[in-house]
Amino acid sequence: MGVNFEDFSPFEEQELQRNVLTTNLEQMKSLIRSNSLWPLTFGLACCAIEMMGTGGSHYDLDRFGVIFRASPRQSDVMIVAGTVTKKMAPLLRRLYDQMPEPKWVIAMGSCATAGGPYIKSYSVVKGVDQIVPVDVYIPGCPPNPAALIYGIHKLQEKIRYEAKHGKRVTIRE
Amino acid sequence: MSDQEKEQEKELTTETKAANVMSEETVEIKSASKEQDVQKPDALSQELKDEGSVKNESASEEQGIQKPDAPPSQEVTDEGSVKNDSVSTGVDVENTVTKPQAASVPPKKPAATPRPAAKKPVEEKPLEPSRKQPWLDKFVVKLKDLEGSEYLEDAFINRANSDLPTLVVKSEWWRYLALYLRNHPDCQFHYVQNFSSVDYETHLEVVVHLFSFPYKERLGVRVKVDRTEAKVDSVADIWAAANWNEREAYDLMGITFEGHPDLRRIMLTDQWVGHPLRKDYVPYDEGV
Repeated sequence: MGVNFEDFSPFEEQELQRNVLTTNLEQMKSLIRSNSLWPLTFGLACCAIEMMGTGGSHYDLDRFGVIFRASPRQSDVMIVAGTVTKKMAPLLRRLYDQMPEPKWVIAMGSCATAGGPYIKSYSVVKGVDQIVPVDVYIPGCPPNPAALIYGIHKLQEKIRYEAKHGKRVTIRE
Repeated sequence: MSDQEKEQEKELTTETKAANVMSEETVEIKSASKEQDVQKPDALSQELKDEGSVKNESASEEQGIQKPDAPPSQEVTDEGSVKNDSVSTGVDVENTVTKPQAASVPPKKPAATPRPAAKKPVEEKPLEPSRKQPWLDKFVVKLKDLEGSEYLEDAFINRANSDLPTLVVKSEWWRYLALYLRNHPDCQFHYVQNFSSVDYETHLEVVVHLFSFPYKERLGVRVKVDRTEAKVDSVADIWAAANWNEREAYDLMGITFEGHPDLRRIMLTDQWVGHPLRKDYVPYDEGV
């Protein structure tokens, strides 16, 4: 099937350079991954309502390739949407461990970020980053759908940046 | 209707006092037998029997009652009527004392017993006696009839909670009283509306709100529990609804319910240290 590059005329070669992009495999993978982020459905509190609204027809997360999965084994990203209690924390860690690599975590809302209004509670984990490594924190109580979309875009940006520059944005465990 | 009944009651009190005494005895015996069915803790029942027998001896000497297990009803009613003077304000003492007796003459018809005058809507001024006062008095009189007055520390109308008649019970008598409130035909509190606990720093308190379907009446019961050695008898076998609520009180407040079938933590993890709703709780994992 071979294309003989030496047979190209100068005009054809010029056209070829204008239309073909060259890249490396890592960047290619990052493009694919960041455009098909499948989040694990992990709604815990009122943030989950906003997350559902974001997934609905109006905000339509599908257009970013974000399709909610009901199993950790099919998921790429865990959107922790809500208050994580100390009783829930081991289960969250187990679900994170069940996700295949590569995997990312978005802490949605102030509860998952730092405990939020339950900072003085005896039963709430003050930030989900004590259990799993978090890539993107979205502030808000709860964050509106636009904020969640912004956070997902930030994660996509991060995935591409890391692939392009070969270094991590945050230090993982 | 009520006038006729009052007349009847007066007749009963004057003429057939002995018959009343006998009927009360039967009721008491029935309640006692029910208690034994539900497996009372041995120590308590022993105590009860001892007291009953002691009192019974004195009573039988005086009045010649031959039944071995019968409580000294005659003696106690006198006590109750005396104490009732201080409790019932503005309510006819004679009426309140005799009413439960008259009601218990046919002990197997709880629905037919006359409702207390509590339901009549009365215009309330802040210092007027509450419309629930007769209903409370009925209980106080009944409970004082039961075994003297050592069950109760206090009995009052909780005006802040829509005039809820409230009893404050000593913790060692709680189970005995619970059986009485559930099984006695004039009480029939079959439903636990609310079961919670409070930390007053000086002591703990178990708060139970009961509801009687035949009488459509509520009753609050508070049981004071020592703070350092927080133990109280379980009523999970009397009201099944109390099972999980007692587990919750154990989990969050650290009250041990003795005789509970499955006393584990219900809200928190099994490895939890301490009881977080106590006022002096210090988290074992500060900052997490």
